[in-house]
Amino acid sequence: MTQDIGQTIKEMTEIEFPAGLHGKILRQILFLRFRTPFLVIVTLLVGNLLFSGIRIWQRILDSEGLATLGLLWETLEFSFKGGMQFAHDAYDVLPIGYIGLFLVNLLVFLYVAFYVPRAFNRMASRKPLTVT
Amino acid sequence: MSAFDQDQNLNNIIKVAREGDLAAFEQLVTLFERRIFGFAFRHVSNREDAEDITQDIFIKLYKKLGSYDSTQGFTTWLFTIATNTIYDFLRRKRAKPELLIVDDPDAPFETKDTHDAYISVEARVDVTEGLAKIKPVYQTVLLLFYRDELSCEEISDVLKIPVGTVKTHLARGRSALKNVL
Repeated sequence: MTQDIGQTIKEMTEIEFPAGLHGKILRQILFLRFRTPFLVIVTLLVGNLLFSGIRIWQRILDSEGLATLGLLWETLEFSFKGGMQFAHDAYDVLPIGYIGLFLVNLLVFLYVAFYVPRAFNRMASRKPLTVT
Repeated sequence: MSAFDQDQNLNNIIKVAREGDLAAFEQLVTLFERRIFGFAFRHVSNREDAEDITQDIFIKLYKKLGSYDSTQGFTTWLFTIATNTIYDFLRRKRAKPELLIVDDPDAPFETKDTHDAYISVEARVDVTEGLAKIKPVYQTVLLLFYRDELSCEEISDVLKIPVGTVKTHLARGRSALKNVL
């Protein structure tokens, strides 16, 4: 009977391994592995984004930018020369560098925020490696 | 591949995984995930809980791989982590008795002890259900000995109990299981 019990336990049916569990495990491991650099990068990007946004807003307030830009828009001549003049005057209110930096920050942040989780999911969803 | 070659292969994978190679770690996961899941499931009899426990085990494995002592068998070490994780889970469940809700809305709620939660509501008893009815430590010893084919010495390392106690649990586990089948 001892032999039967042992044999019976050995012959128990294999429990079906849940689909997707392998991926879940790997996602957790990937997150653990890259959590710190990911958080550092996101913190720096968010900080940079906020800083750029604050600088732009400060600049607009300091130079009464909204009123100035409004006035420029009202007096805008819809021609190439008019457009160039508008851009030149607007540049005095808000240098293109500020806007450019803000937009670059925003694009990088969006890229990291959307791409990295999808990359994690893609890495974790691959077929398990064949072990030799 | 001979058992020796399999051991060498496993040792190579472990060595590379310890250096931080994720592909090697994934190979370890692939090698052991089914056994670990089956081991966890047979203790908790619930697929969702077994999935959570399996994830926890491999996360712990990842965190502790750096401290793995290669003089100890890897399988033994992994099952030590697995057993501790399962028992921690069972202790937490014990602290919060399960509410059993029956289909009849007029029936009162019953509070069941965690050990009773192992008891199947079906009349038919097979080995899987029988194992669920005996003490967790007997389940563990029987599964490790017959299913995972660990020796009594290895089980002693896993459970941190003397070899003699392992043999006693084995005998008592067989007897307990015979009684419920």
